[in-house]
Amino acid sequence: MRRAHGTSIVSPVSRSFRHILTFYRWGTIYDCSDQRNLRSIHSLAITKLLCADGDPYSLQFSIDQQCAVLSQRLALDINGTTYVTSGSTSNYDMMDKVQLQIANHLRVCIAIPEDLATVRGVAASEPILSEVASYIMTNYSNFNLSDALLNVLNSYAISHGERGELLVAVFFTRARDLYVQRTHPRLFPRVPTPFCPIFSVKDLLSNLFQARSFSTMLDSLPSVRRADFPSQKFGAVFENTKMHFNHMIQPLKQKVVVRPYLVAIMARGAAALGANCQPGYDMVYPFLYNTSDLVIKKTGFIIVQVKNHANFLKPDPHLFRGMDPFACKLLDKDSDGPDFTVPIIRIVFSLGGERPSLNHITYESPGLGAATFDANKHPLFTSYDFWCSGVSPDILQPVEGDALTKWEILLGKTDQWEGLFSTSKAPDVRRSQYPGGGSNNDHYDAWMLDNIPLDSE
Amino acid sequence: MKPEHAHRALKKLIKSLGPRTGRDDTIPDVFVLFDEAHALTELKTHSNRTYFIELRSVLHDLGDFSLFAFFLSTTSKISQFAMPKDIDQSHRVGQGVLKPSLPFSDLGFDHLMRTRKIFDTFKTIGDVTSTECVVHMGRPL
Repeated sequence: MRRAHGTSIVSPVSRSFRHILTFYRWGTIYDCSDQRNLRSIHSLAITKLLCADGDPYSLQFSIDQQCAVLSQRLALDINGTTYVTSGSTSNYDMMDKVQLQIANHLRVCIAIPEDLATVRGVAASEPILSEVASYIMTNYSNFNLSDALLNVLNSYAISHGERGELLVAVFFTRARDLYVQRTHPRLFPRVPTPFCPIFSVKDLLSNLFQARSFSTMLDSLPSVRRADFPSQKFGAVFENTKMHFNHMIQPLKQKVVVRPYLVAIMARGAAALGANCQPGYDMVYPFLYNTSDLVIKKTGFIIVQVKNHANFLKPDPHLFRGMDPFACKLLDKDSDGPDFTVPIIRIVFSLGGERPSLNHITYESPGLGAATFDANKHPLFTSYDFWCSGVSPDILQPVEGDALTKWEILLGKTDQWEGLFSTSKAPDVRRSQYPGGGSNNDHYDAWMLDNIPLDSE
Repeated sequence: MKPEHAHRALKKLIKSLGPRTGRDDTIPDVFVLFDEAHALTELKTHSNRTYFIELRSVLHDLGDFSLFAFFLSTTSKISQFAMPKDIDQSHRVGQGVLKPSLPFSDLGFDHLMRTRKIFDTFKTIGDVTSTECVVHMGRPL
């Protein structure tokens, strides 16, 4: 460390500099070196993440490397012991995979139990790694997103989310990368040196949805509107917004996710997944509204909820009422209610919808889309609400046409338990061994006279 | 090297350090650091024991001395140094007679951000997306 804080490095290719690259990380190297070495930091991060030398553009990605890259974007939890559909399923194999990710792919070890049996590792928020992971996913032709996700979900004990939340997080991540790819082909390094791109809400959503669907968004008026907010179209309202995210964080507690928290993690380039059993939403993407300053009161968000199967071919307004930002505790009624003039966006993804579409939601009365009101019964917030149905390249840009089958397979994998039962040669018998375990009649037929009308997902 | 050679060498080293003065007696006289220790996890020739296992055995024999040994590695699996007792090659560890120390991995994060915090040094979205900010977030080593 004396070297890091003392003498400067004479030559970036000197033996001593290469030696330092081995041990020290990004910030230390940056402090010791000059502008010419920024590319070395970028390259070092890629090498360390992939644990690979040589020409990176010809790299054939192993499943471990795919897991490393995706983990830095999606906060994948590989510590689980859930059923793995292919390959090894023993606990030692799973432990070994976690330890390999810690040893070779920069996953952070956060717990070593006394019996040394189950080491826990997390893909901690480290913006530089997420940015190089984005670079890898965008620039390395041998990295295929749908293939990588399928491989990783088949090989690691990862929760997909019961309703496909992981898939939607992937779509947003890919949309962000599409924007970067199309507008910042050579972002790094530059002087002055932004390491990560800044983009607007419109930039993100115009790369998430196809042009026709996005034009529906642009022309939409508020679905729910504060009395003091003008009735303006989406395209004008979200013109001057700024976002910075290249990865997701999975908070451990529900009550952590409030607006100040979202500003803090935005500073790290992160958006938030919902905590376990989070009511109202599955992920939140913060943005700054009409400012570049990290000001809490100027922060809005895109609230996302995911449904797997299309119970409602017709969008259900009750779902959006449950996404009221005050009811979800993203905002506090007393402190935020009086002047929450920043508009928000709420999107429900109904992934199993049979007819792909994007619909702007309107309500017959304001009370249908909101749950929190002022003394005059006006909503306390302004929101533009949308219902996206289906997983189709006609609607979603990240769903490329030739990979549609893989995305459909991934969608089918969200129901892990169903996969467990359906692999039996007698799935009805296997389901009967778990009475009341699901919505399938096989869980009930053996012991109940009439089937109860279950609201299946 | 025979075990008695290691005993003699360590005795000689401790003697050459001179008498302890005003120090906490709980602090060992000698610390030994094995850096890049994953190299020790290779199997010995014609043996199913690794160099680390052999070294661990020797260090155990030096247990009466005031000695503490560190093994550092950034690229190894934890199980190469600390494995569950039912798969440890040592009979005594397997029977619970000896208990290996737990590996230490709590090194912390964002050390280099302590003098340049968000909302203090970095206040805008332009600031937090700059190289200056991004490279200082994360692990130190």
